Amino acid sequence: MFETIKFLIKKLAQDRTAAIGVFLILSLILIAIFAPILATHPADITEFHPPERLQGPSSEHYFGTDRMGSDIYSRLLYGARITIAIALIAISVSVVIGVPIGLLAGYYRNWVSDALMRVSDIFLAVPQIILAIAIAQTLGPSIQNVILALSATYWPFWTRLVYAETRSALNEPYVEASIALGASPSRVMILHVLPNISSSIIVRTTIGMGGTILTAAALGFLGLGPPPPSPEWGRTIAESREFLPEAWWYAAAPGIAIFLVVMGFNLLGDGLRDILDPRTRRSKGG
Amino acid sequence: MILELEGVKVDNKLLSVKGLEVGFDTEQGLAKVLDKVNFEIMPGEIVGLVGESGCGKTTLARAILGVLPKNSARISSGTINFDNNDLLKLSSKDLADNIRGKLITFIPQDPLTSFNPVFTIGAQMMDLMKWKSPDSVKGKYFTRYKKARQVTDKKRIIDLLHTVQLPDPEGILRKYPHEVSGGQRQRLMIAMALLPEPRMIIADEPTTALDVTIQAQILKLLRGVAVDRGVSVLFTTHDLGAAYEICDRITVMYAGQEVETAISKDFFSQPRHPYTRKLLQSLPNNSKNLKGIPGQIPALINPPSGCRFHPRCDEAKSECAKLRPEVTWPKKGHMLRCFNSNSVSAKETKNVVR
Amino acid sequence: MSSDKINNNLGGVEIPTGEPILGVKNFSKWFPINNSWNRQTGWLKALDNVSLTVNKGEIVGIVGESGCGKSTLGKTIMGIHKLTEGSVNFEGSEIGHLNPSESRQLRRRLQYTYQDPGASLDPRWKIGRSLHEPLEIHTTLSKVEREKRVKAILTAVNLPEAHLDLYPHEISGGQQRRIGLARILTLHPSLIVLDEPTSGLDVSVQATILNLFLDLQKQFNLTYIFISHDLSVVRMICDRVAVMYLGKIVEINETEKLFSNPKHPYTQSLLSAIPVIGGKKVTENFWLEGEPPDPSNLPSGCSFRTRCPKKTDQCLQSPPPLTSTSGEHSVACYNT
Repeated sequence: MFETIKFLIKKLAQDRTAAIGVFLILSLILIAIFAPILATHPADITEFHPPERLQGPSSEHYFGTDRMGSDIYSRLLYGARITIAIALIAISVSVVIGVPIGLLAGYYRNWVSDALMRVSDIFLAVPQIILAIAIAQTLGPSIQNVILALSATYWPFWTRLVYAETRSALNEPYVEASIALGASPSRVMILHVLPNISSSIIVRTTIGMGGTILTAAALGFLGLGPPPPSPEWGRTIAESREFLPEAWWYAAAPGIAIFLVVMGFNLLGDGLRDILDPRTRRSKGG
Repeated sequence: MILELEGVKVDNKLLSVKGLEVGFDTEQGLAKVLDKVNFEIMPGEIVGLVGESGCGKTTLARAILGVLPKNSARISSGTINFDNNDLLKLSSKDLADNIRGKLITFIPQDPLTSFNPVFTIGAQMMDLMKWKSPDSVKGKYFTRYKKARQVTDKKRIIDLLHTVQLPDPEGILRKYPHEVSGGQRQRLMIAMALLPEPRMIIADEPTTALDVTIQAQILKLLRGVAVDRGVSVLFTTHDLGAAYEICDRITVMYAGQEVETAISKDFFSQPRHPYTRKLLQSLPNNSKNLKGIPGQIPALINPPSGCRFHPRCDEAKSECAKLRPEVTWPKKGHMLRCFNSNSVSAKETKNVVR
Repeated sequence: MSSDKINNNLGGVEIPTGEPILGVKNFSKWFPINNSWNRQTGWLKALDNVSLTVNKGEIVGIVGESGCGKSTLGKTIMGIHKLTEGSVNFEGSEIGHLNPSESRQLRRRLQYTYQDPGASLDPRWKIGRSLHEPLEIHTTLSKVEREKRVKAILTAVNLPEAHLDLYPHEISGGQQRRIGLARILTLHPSLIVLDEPTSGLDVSVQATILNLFLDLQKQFNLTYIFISHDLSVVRMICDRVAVMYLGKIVEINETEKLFSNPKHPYTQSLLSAIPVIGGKKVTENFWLEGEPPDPSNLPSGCSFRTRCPKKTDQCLQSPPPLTSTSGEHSVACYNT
C-alpha cells in the first residue's frame, strides 16, 4: 500500500502539469484546515460592518470587502471548507452507491443487470439543476440539500464506468481462473475485479471532483445552497452581480478561486490517469 | 531460385543490411534489440529469418520497411541497401510513396486486425490499387482515379484472387473482413501483397495463427506465387518446420545477433552454431527425449557481452564473452559467427535431425 | 455451503491406476445461434455425441483444429459451460447436470488450466496470497495450516519460499507458470485438464514445460487431459490421442499407433500437414483442399464428406459411429 503511494508521489512529481495540480489541491486542503489562522478577519463570517462596504483591495483587506463590509479574503478561506465538504461528501456518496451497483450489473448477465443499468439511466436523465431547485423548494436551501441533489444525479457515472470495466475484467485470465477454482461471485468482485479497476475509479473520481465543485458553485450561485451569511463561493459571486463592474474584486476573488481549484483537480486527474492507466501512458518504450 | 553466396561481394543483391544497430528507449534504459546485424536477400529467393521471442526478427523486418516506432526506436548505425538505395537515407515521404507497399510489401501475422472492419474487402483493395498499382502516378496526392485505370486494376485484382485460389472472387470483394475465414483472409493478404508487383515481400509469421492444414495450403501457395513471379520473400518465423517447407536459405538469430546462415539443406543437416544445434534438438521428435535449452533468453537492456548466447552455450570459451565472433564462411554459402571450429561429422547430423 | 468445506483432509475417492477416472458419454454441447433480433435461428453443435474414457494415470491428448470443439470439451467437463445432453462421471459420481455450487466438492479434484497457468495469477496479489486462495475457497483450514501446505507445494515445484512475498511480475515467465500449476496442486487434484499448455511458447521452452508436467504427474499421481492443436507436442507426452473434427471424435488410438497408422482420412490429412524436417515436403504433396464447413450448418451424414477422398453414398446419409476396431483403437468412418 505504502509503496504504491510513494511510487505515485514520485511519478506525479516528475510530471509538471500534475505537480501543479497536486500543489493546488494541497493548498486548498491546507487553507481549509488552517482558515482560522490564515484569515485576517475571522469574525467576518458572521459579523458585518456596513461602513466599510465595497472597498477595493488594500493591505488591510487583501481582496477588498463585500456589500456588508466583510473581508472577502477571510470569507474566501472559510468558503474553501464548504467547497471541500460539498465536493467530498457528494462524491463519496456517489462512489459508495455507484460502484457496487456497477459491479453487480457487470458481473451478472441477466435481468438483474439490465434492470440496474436502466435505473441508472433514469437517474442520468434527471437534470441536476432542476432537481436541486425542486429539492431546495421543498426542503429549503442548505448545504445538505446541495449534496443530496449532486449525489442523486452523479452516482450513475460511476456505475457506467464500473460496469464497463467489470465486463472487460471478467475476461482477464486470472479472473476466469478464480471462477474456475470455485470462487464465489462476491469474492471475485471484491477481491479480484475491484482492485484491478480501482485506478479507473480513482482517475474518474479526481476529475469528477472538479465538475462537482463547479456544479456546487452553480447551485450556490442560484441561491440553492447554504443561505446567507454563508461564505460559499458561488453565493458570493451571485451577491456581487449588482455591484459589477465597479466592485470587480467582489466577483474576481471567488471566481479565480473556483477556477484554480477545478483546474487543480483536472490536472491531478490527468496526471493520475497517465500514471495509472497503461493504455494512455505517454509511452517511451517500444 | 538458389544462388550460391560467397564471401565475395556480389553486386546484384536485392537487399543488403549491414551493421544495423537498433535500440529501443524503455523506462529501464536502452534495449539493444539489434546488434550490428548483417543480412542479405538475392533477387527471387525465399529467405527464412528464424529465431525465438526477442531475437529481433520482427524488428529487423520493421526496420527494412521503415516502420519502427518513432518515439522509441534509435537506429545508431548501419545501412539497409535495397536495390542500391540506402533506405535509411531516404525521406519518410519517399519511403512511404515509392518503397513501402510498392517495391516492398508486407504480409502480417494477424490478417484480421490488418483489415479495416468497416470497409468491404473490395473497397480496401481498390484503395490499395489507387495508390500503389503499378500504373499509379508517382507522388501526386490529388490526381483523380481515372475510370480506365480502375477497370484494369479491378481486372488485376480478380486475376490475383484466382491465383490465390479464392472461390468466387467477385463475391469476396463485396464481403466484410469478419465474414471470411482466417485462411481466406491470409490468401487475401497474399493477394494484396502481390498487387503492386513488388520486388520483395516481407511475410511476418504469416502462418503462425493458422491451423496446420491451412498452413500447409498457404505455404504451398506462397512459395508457388513467389517463384512464379520471381519475387523475393523475407519469411520470419519461430517455426522451423514452416521454414523447412519453403525457404531457400535460412538465417537464425539469437537475442539480436545473427549467428548462422545457410542454404536450407545445409542448415538442417549440418548446423554449425551451438544455438542452431540446440534449437533443432529441442524440436519435438519421436524419440520422446525432451531436451530444452537451459537458461533464458536474456533481457536486452543489459545483454551478455560478446556473443550473446555464451551464458547458455555448452562450448563457450573465454573469448566468447569478450568479443562478438566475426563473420566466417566454413563452407561456400554457409555463414557462421562462432569461435568454435564446428566441423560436423556425419554421425552427429543423424542425431540432430529426425 | 458449509458442507463444501468440511473436508479438511481433502480426501476423495481414490481410483486405482488404470481404472477409469473420468467417463464422458453421449456428451453434447449445443450453443443457440441468435440473429440480430435475438431470435434463435439454429444450433451451433460445438460438441455432438462425444464419448470418451480417461483412465487414472494416463495422459490423454485431444487434438484438432480450430472449431473442432476440443476446448469446449474441456470447459464443459469442468462445468464452465453447461452441457446440453449426456453425462460426465468423475471418480464414480455423476457431475454433468449439477450446478457449480452443488458440485463444488465433487469437482475439487478436477482442475483446469488454460494456456499459461502463470496468467491465472492476479497481478496485484502477492504470490503467497494467490497460493492461499484455493485453500481459502475449498477448505476451513487455519491460516497457519494453509501456509504449511503452500510451502510444501512450493518445494514440490522447486521454487524458493522467498517467492511467497513477491509479485508475479517480479519472477520469470517460466516460474510464473510453475506457480500457476502449484496453485492448482494445493487442492491435490486427481485430474487436470490442460488446455493449450504450450501455445505461444518458444520451442526451447516447450521441452522444459513438458518435463515439468511429467515430473508433477509422477509426484502427485496425476491424470491429464492434454488439449492441443500442436500434434508434435501431443506425440511426445500423451499415452492415447483422440482426434476431433467439427464436434465429434473421429479417431482414438494409442499415440504411436495413431501417428504411424492413422485410419480416418481426416487424421491422415492432419498428420500429413505437419512439416517434417529432413523428410518429404508437405507443400509438395498435401492434398486436403478447402476449409471446414460452417459449423452452424453442417453437411448431412459425415461432416468430413465434403473434403474426403474416400466418400461414398453411405457417408451422405448418416454420421458414422465411433466404432472400436482393435485394442484401444476406435474410428468413425465407413471406409477404412
